Amino acid sequence: MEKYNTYKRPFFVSAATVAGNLVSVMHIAKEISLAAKNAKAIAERAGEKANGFRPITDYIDEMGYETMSLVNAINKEALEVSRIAVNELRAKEVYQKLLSAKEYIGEDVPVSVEKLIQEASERLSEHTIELEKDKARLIHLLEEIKNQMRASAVISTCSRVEATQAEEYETSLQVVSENVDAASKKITMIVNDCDDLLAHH
Amino acid sequence: MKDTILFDDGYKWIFFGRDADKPEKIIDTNQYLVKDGNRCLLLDPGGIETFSAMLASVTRHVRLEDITEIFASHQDPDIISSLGLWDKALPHTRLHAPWLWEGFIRHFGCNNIQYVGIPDEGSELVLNKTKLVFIPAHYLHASGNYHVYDAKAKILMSGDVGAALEPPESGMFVEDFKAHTENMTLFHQRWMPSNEAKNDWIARVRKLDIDMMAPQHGRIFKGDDVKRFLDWFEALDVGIAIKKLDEAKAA
Ligand SMILES: [Fe+2]
Ligand SMILES: [Fe+2]
Repeated sequence: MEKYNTYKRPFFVSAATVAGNLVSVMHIAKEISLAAKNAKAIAERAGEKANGFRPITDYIDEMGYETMSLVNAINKEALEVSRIAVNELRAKEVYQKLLSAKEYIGEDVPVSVEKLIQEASERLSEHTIELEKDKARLIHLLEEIKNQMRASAVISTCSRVEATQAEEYETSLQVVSENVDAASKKITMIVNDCDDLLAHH
Repeated sequence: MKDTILFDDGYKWIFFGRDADKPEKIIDTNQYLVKDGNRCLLLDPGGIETFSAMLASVTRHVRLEDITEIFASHQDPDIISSLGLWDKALPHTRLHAPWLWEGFIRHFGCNNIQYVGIPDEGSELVLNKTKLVFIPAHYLHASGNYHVYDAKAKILMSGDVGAALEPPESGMFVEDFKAHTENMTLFHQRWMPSNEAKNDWIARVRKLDIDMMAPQHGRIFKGDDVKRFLDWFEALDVGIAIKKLDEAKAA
């Protein structure tokens, strides 16, 4: 295990791990949607007492839904990044092996070999450019989900305030607000971990 | 790539396969994962072309650092040509593979992963709660070849034995055994070289209590279909390429 922790992970592993981490974000986003449905039911029962709270439930619902679709997009992107990173690694290996072949040849390297090396090098830079582009897109998407979680923190604060107006329904609405808050915090934590994973390259 | 849980009682057996995105001309493969806390085993992880999809799929179920073991039933490219990449992704793991093939399998790249050669008579591997047995299946079809048996889950991972060639969108389990034999006959006749080896393996496997026989290609056999397979395989004449050549000469 020590060996694993001290080992520098190849980028394709980090990207795949990001995709794997998002599976739990998906579960949490589903929890948010569920919390929103609960809140709606409670607000329904509370009638006028939940007048302030009711519109917030729509926000929560929408946010849960948006988080899920964003997570889906990030998951796809992370998998794509991982796949491209594997291709880049393979291209790099081809390039390096050709270079060592050239070394074996020593003097008078045939033009054909030089041409192969040139092509391999071009292919490698194509892969590298593609990878950088996709990596940037992935990081941007992760940033987007963090923004969404910041918005969610605001919503849960509002809902906590509105819950205090709901008299006997206050406790159940407070629970909903807390659940949403906790879920957003969990998501932010996981996404931060993902950022760290990608930053180490 | 699809994943399905085959067994879940204290630890899990997970199936991976039916990859709709795989390049068209490569054979579809089944991969398996035994998930047992921080000791997980990846069985026949597959070829270099399916590596990315496979890596992505396993990260949905386990932390990569928890994959401590890999098993390769034999040396074929569809089984283990991804080794060079796993070697970078999972440098801390051990590869359990036929001792006979070590010098060959290392050609795929094995610098970090530790190669643990399985002796001819087979061996055992204990994870946390899982006890697995590497059962000899020599010459079926490779000269050094093993299957993996789990007596608690009653699962036999049977490598190329029981394999069928079907499109990737086909079902996961055998539903109509008789119809399924059509997808298996030629494969077994041509790929399995020896009736003697076949019968030796059948005798060994008949002694095992098996609920599920899970091959590396095609559908999984459940319940009575396992016994049906053993009877069918016993009656099948294998190693037909030589006989065909003889027939051609005689004609
Ligand atoms: Fe094979
Ligand atoms: Fe195979």
